[in-house]
Amino acid sequence: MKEDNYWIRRVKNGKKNDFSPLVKRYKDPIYYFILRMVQNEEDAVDLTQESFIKAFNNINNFKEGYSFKNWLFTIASHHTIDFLRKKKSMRESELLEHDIDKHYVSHLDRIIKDERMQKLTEEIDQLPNNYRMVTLLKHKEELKIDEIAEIMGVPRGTVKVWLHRARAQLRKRMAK
Amino acid sequence: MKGKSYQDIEDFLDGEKTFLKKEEIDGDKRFRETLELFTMLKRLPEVPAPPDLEKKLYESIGISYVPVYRKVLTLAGLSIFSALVYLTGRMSFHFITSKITVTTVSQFFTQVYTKFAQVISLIKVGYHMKDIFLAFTNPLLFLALAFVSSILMLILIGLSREVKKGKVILIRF
Repeated sequence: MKEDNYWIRRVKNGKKNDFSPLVKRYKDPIYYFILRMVQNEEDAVDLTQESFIKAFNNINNFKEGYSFKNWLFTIASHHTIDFLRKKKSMRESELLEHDIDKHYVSHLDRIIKDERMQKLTEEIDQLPNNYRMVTLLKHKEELKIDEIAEIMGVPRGTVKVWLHRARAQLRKRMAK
Repeated sequence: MKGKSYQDIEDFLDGEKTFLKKEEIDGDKRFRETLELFTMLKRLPEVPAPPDLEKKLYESIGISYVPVYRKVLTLAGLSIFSALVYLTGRMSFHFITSKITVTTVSQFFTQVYTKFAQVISLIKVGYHMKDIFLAFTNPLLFLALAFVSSILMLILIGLSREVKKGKVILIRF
């Protein structure tokens, strides 16, 4: 976090190139998070790029002492939620379900050999968007409940309920 | 395990305060499996972002992007160059030191000292020339010199005349 703040201070002072260490550090977790959320590689690339651009343009609004990772995840999650909402309304109006689903060929599916892990990935993808998001932030990114609540802009209790339901669904489906 | 519910494992997973102990989790199959499931989720391999994402992103932001291969090449080039400089310097040093003896060093310093002394003498001569020149350019000094030299000339002429007449005899000391 200290290192992040060092680079952020430099970027704020006009050294634009010093944004690259932050990109290098967080591009993979952000991309993975978005990919799992949108389940489409092209969209994930676009959303990751847009999230970083947004973070770069608003870096002066970043308050020192706050976690840059959480701030970045806040931007990425809001951006992803907006995208999913738009996509949902588009699917409903244009009935493009088959068109959207056919693009999803994840690297992960090629990487994961373990059957149980493969199943878990599939089950996570089946979860509703908000449940999937809290599950990934809690168990993949290991964020605290309060941090997730802040990132998603919902009360702490809501996060706990979503997490509880997501876990229950995952447990049930994995037991089948 | 009586009295323990799923809420306990939920609290445990949420990082909340719980009275559930590790032995109790290990002892209960349901709890153990749940914990394993979410530990597995943590261990899911991360998908790396496509390699061109970084490049595109930097281009959009307007910051310079140096690909890894170019960094490696630059580093390798600099390493080779510095190694060459070091080796050349080392070889030159060994070559020079092998040529130097006590006699050549003292000869060299003597030559340097002589050249230095010559330069100093030239400067001194120049300084005196300047004094002579100034003496002639000063009208009062020039008149005084002309006056003294003309009197001396008159004396010499008078003396030579007297010598010819035989009135004065020149004696060589």
